Amino acid sequence: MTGALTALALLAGCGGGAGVTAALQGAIAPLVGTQAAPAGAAAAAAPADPATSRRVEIAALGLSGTARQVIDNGVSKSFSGPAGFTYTLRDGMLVSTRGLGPDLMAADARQSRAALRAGGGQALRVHETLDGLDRIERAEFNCTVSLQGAEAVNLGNRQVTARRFDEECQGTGLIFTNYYWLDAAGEIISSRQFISQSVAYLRSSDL
Amino acid sequence: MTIRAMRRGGAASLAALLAAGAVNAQTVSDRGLSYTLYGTPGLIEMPSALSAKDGQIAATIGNFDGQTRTTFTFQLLPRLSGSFRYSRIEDYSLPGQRGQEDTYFDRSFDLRYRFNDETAVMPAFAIGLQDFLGTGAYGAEYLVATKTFGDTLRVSAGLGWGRFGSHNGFDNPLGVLASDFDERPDLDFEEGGTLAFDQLFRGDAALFAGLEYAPTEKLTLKAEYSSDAYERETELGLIDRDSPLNFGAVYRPLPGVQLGASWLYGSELALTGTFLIDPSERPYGPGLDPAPAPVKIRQGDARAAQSWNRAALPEATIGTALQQALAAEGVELSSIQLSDRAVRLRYTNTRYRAEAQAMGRIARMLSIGLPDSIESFTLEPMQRGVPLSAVTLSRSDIEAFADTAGGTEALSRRLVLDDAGPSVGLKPLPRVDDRFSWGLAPYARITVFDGDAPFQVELGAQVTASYEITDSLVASGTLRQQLYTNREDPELIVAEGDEPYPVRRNAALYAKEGTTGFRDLTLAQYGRLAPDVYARTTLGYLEEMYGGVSTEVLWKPADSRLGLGAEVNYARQRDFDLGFGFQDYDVVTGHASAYYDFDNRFYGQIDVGRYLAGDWGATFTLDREFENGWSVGGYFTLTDVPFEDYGEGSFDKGIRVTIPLDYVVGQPTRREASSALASLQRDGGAKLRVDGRLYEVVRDGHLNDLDDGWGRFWK
Repeated sequence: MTGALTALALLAGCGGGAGVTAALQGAIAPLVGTQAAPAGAAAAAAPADPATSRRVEIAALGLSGTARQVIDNGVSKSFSGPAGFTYTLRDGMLVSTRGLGPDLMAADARQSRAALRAGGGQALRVHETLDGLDRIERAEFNCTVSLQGAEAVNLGNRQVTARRFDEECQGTGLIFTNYYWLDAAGEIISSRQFISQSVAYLRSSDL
Repeated sequence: MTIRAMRRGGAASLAALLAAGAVNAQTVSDRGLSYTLYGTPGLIEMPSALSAKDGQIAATIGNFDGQTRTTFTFQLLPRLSGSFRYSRIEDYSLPGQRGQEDTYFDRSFDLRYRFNDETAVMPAFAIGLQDFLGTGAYGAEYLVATKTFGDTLRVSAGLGWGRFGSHNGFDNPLGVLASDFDERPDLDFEEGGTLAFDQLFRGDAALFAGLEYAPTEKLTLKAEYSSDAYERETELGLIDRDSPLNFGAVYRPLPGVQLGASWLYGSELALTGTFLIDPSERPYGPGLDPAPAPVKIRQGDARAAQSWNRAALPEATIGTALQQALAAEGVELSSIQLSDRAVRLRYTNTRYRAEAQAMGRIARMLSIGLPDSIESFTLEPMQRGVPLSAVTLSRSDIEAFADTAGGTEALSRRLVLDDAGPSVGLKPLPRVDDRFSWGLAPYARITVFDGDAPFQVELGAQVTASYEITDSLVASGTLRQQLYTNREDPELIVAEGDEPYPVRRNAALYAKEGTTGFRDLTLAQYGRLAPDVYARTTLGYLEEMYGGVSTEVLWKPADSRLGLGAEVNYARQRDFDLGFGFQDYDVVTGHASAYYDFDNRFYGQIDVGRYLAGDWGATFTLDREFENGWSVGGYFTLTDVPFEDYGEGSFDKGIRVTIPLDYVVGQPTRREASSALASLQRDGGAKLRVDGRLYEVVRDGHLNDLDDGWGRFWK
């Protein structure tokens, strides 16, 4: 039920998060001399810059569209997607979402990333979520990363061939499978990664 | 000096007791739980030894043949539950009384304690006291055992006294301990509301038993052998009790809803409905808060910078930009102190229930906007213009722990909590938010449990407005227009004999004559006299029935579990029309108060002093608070007004519930809804009602409230 409520509320309320992020950047950016993010309607109308944009979809919430990078912290990057939700990828691995209700508060996916780099293997993964009493709940998952072979992936305007990996994870009362497509350099160019039980998966692809 | 390290090691004995209870959380037995006609976990009328999920509130309405029982059962602790019941019985009167009343109303209160968890071989055992504080109309005690077999079958059997020892009773087995147990004396309930010690576990005892069978997840079938003879009801000709056997079924169409029907005593059809609320399960999960700005991490050697170029980036520019940026988060920045390596902010969070969440949002913005050399962030939250505490975070920790598993916990261990610092050094920023605010909202007042008119309702609209003359000096008022009431014409109540002056009993006259008027109109000044000492003065029309001046002082260090306060008020009774006039009655009233924050989220408060009617005494309050802002508690007041002069209920007592609004709507808000149940307000032990008492204002920024909300830091 929570998932449905979340989807409804997000669709009805829409966009508060993007507004906040844009407002902050607008006000603060001049202090540090960075480029202010385009705000509001201007942002929606501007063409997506492939270098800093991604195509995203959260099927369970009926959200799909373009996400723009809002912060580049080197190895980790944060993006703002439709309806104002944000997410952070660390070296391509999803480590948090915000603005989705039952968010992924934080994750440790370093072993999974290492297994991807090694061509497959076992990994221990940690996810943190927030419960109804405002406590952080920690869940551990035993995961198996395995190479599925080369596949053609559609990245918006272009199609590339990439190596696909599946990561099958099992925790207490919860099983999920993440998909990753890696280019020749080992970078994750497209993925489907687990957020939380009611929001399920985030699909995110380079443009 | 971190938040964890400062937790006091040696908790008081009550705290230890409560903690022991919490550890033994029941896991299996609350599955498939259903409720009796008395609104307690159990069979049809007979209790079982089970407990509901810790913290759960069950509201049950049960009806059969002219009896309606409305019960709230709260699982106070994993093993201890309390039930408050309001019943309506047609043509009833208490035993020993002559005649019958058309409709008899009764309040009752139960407690049940479960001794152990059920295991593979061992049943759960519980002891219960039913209606031990009220008139005793439902008075019963019991010992009961319950055992679950497999997934579908549950058996309960027990020994009852009082009502539950009235069918096929035998000599009280406790009679071997003392002959006092053999006889249950007649109840002398006087004004009711006192503990009937001389009744408990006295008189004949009887056995009861029953079965529950759950063929599906949604359906439970029950059968029981009842040991309640319904003596008084049979005597009055209200019930035909043809058989001790009851049969029933409970259906769960939705989670949290139970509908039941049963066939009682071979002659009566009974219907029940139970609605469950679990404060720990929010309808919107963790909440639909809009996404915050992400943390910006300083790259490379930027972190090593020891200073910043003030020519390129003047301090004034930073202050103004931050103020503007924080406004988007509902945070009003009042003043700022900048140095090469540190920043200190004073601000008022107007949006987030948890101050910790506001801190998380501020810290992220500071990471984006401040020069690289600034490593230390000191955040001083204010409410009503008063700084509450100072939380210092290191910018490197913010960068390291964002989006990192274990980061919330690690940050809480590394932050430093202290009293708010001095005002010296802070540069005030000109206010940009509105000093004036107002709102129009409906209001409803429901008065229940009044013996003569048990359900009175008043509906209307109210305009509230406030103007902040300074951050800490606020003028505010509420204008009300009544639109509907079902109150009948009340008469002016005057004190008779030794009764206290009617300081509250004429409430109905305010509702009748004050159809348009000021509920309150005040000028309030808040301040901090010393780092740990807060003060308040409120002047004007303080509440509906009284005006005057209220002064308060509170000592409460940010890291202390203990708070001590004193309040002195001069109050004069207002005219019934809610205008500007006053009546002749005035009084100096006030209390010395001690507040203690037990571990396990129990909060105790003792107020000793002089009440509105000039009576002297003390109020004892204990609340169980949940991390997410829910609170359920009870209080009682004993004063030098004798029970017989106090009137119905003997002394003031009640149950109160606070529900944070963000729990209900899923969006961040600091608003909450509070309601007191079960209080029949009379004149003894009546307190002046003043908005914004210091403890509630101050504690949000202090150790335990910060800790409770800390999980939201990164939300």
